[in-house]
Amino acid sequence: MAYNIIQFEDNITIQHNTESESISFFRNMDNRYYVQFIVDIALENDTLDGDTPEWVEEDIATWQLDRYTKATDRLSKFIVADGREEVTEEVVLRQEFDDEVGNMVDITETHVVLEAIDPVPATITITSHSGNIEDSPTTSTIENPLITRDKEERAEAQAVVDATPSKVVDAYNAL
Amino acid sequence: MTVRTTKSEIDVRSKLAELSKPTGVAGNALAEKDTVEQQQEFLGIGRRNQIINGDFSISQRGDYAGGLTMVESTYWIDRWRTRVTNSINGTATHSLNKVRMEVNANATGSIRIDQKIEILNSEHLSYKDMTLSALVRSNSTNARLAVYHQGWDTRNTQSSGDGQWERLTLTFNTGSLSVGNEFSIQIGLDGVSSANVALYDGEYMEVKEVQLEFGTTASPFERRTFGEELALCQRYYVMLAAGADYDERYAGGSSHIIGTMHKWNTTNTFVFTDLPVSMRNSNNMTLKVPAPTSNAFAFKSAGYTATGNGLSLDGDSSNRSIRLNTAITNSSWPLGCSGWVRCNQTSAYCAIDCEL
Repeated sequence: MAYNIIQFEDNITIQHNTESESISFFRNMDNRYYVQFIVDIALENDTLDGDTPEWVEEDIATWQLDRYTKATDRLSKFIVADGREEVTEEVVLRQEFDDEVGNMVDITETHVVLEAIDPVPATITITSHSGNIEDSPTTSTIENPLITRDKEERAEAQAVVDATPSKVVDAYNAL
Repeated sequence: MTVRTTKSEIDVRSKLAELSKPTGVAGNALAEKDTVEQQQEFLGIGRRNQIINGDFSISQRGDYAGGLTMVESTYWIDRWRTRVTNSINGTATHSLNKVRMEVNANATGSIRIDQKIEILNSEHLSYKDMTLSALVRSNSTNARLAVYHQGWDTRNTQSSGDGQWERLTLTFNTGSLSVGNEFSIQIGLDGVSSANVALYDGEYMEVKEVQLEFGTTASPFERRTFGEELALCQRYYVMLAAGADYDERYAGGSSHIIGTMHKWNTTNTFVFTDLPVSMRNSNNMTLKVPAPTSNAFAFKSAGYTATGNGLSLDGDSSNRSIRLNTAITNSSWPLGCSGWVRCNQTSAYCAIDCEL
């Protein structure tokens, strides 16, 4: 059922009726019901009685930008099935005079910025028991659940990135 | 010049006897602590449990003895949510001081309960050693305690799965936590870092006495009185009034009053009521009343009664006192007319949700 906005003087309340319950709340992006309202309107899961006010459009844009930022950040993380190579950088500790060159030269040290992470095993073996003491346990090999979860989260993040309006992407790139 | 000083005599034998007083292992351990804070932590005294409703004694939203179909991120008994991944068919049941989660069909995923911890400032909880403990009984080794603090902590503690009560403990460091971050404890049939696991029909997990405390040792469960626990819960959810279908301890009962009403104009009548405790955040409150098709409430003034349930939370509300708005009116009521609002049906309720 549709959302509706109730205004008395300068106070605004959003009300939503379901088959079992009626809820009402204020405009606040920390309130999970208000966030759900923004999500429902943005994704057209539900409707709003009357015209959509400008402040609702602003909050939808804020939510989309936040979602796009989180999705982009998730995709930038390493793939657990591939692991990660070590990343290092050269840090200048001081300068010393080099007699051979006849100049001051940098004395550097290699710092590890990101430690290498090994790929997780591609599969795992699980043992199942039927519950009947006469039956032997059976074993099966399945994809490592950590890889499955990583794939699911990446796919979800990619779907968010793909569905984000260009004006939101432009706003993100301008940050 | 000679200076003569005198000193009172002491009984050397009695002093030596004091040194030989029996001291147990615990006594020595206490004496070895550097600060009073460490001694208090060691003794397990003071307000320790950071979990609210850790004994599952408060359930303002309703009675779940008959079982609740578990739905992702849904609050049920006070401060606790049911969590489900991969649409697992699970049931959560609440009986006196105990929660039971049960799988109803073979599938891969997880079912659990969780509680979010409110972070009021970053200093209180950041980079602290904490210990989570709970009494657990399960027929699955996937029954485990885990924590989420800005991501899943890979540390977790598993049940033996032998169907006997056992106290599981999990010690971890909270890392960096700021206001707005999620810090939650997770208990259920789940994989490491909440990776999906194979769950089988009939697998269950029962939980009692959940405690989260500072330090690296799990101390005995801290029991609070019903009134104390209810007040702590009401910071996040409060049942203001409810009909006879609800528990008397949580404002349930027939004809219970919600607050006083005042007719402002022909389309706005306001209802005022005080909250029993200061709620978490006045901007984050949500009013919950039954579906609009019912006549849940009676508005009574000047000898006339109007019924309905079109109540909405209105501005000017604070975390101590709220104003509700309604268009329900009676033409015989003059402007400025005062009266009261009460539950009109056994299934009526009026609650404020201010959960994290």
